[in-house]
Amino acid sequence: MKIKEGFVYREIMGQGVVVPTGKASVEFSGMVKLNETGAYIWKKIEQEYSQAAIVEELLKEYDVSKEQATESVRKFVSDMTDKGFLE
Amino acid sequence: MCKIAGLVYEIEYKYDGLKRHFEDYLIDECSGEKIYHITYSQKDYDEVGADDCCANPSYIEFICIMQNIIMQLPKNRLVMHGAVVEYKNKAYLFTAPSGTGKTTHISMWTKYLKDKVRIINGDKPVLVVNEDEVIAFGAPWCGKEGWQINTNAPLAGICLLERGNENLIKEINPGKYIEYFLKELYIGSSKNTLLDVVDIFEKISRSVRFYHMKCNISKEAAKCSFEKMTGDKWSEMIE
Repeated sequence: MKIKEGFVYREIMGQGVVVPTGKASVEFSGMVKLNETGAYIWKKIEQEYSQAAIVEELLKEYDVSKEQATESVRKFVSDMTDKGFLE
Repeated sequence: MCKIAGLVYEIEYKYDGLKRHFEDYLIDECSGEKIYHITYSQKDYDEVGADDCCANPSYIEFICIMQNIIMQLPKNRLVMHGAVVEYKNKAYLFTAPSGTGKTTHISMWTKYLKDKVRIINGDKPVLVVNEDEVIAFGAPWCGKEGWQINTNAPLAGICLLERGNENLIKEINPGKYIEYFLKELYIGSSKNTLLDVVDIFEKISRSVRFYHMKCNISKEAAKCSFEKMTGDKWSEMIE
């Protein structure tokens, strides 16, 4: 699982957004705002964490159950894959 | 030659009507600064003319010139769709899609605050984005009211206007509303990807406060935005 080339993460006053550039901007027009958890997961994917490792990190960082964390990561990855941001 | 937002332009034009738009910006000479040569093609002219079949030739030419100036803007500059008003040497910009009531809203500021405020530009000011501040400049393109002054002031606030029944303004995190603001920004063609627009917006957000306002057309609406954005008391300003 990695971020497709051309999708760039930016933060505006703490608000994370994913912006397509170059070829990616032909496949996807516009940008996507991420919520806090989404931004956290995105940055871990950038650092090449596996899904299981991201779940572990979420458990350390936030007061959530393993089920909730697993579901958050699964949903985010599936959503981003559907959008064509991950491969 | 003319000077707009600190840059020198030499404009090639055909119609005499163009001159009056630029008369407040004319200069006799420049001292070794870069001169931007501005021209336009027949294709530009036809495209603009097709959008507005009733416009006269010199107005179409004016729009073509404006577009070409915007295309050549260096990367720390942009044009923002909005009306910008100056109070105590600070600029306050109201932005919204056309027809929302920016002009009506700032005309309330000038109606009640009189000579304590002045409109720098009624439609598309030039913003120069520096490391620690953004400067709003007057420009010849200014909407049908012709509100423009060849001056500048540091930009203190940007307010996104929306029509509402009551008047309500709040300071916002610009990142949460980014899509609304990005639609109103125009940058040069040399750096014109979505990422460039996002990056310049991010830089603006570091030194300017952002607001969202729902408003009706009333004196109360002007009081509401004035007090929130400037921090001064409306009642002390009105005679």
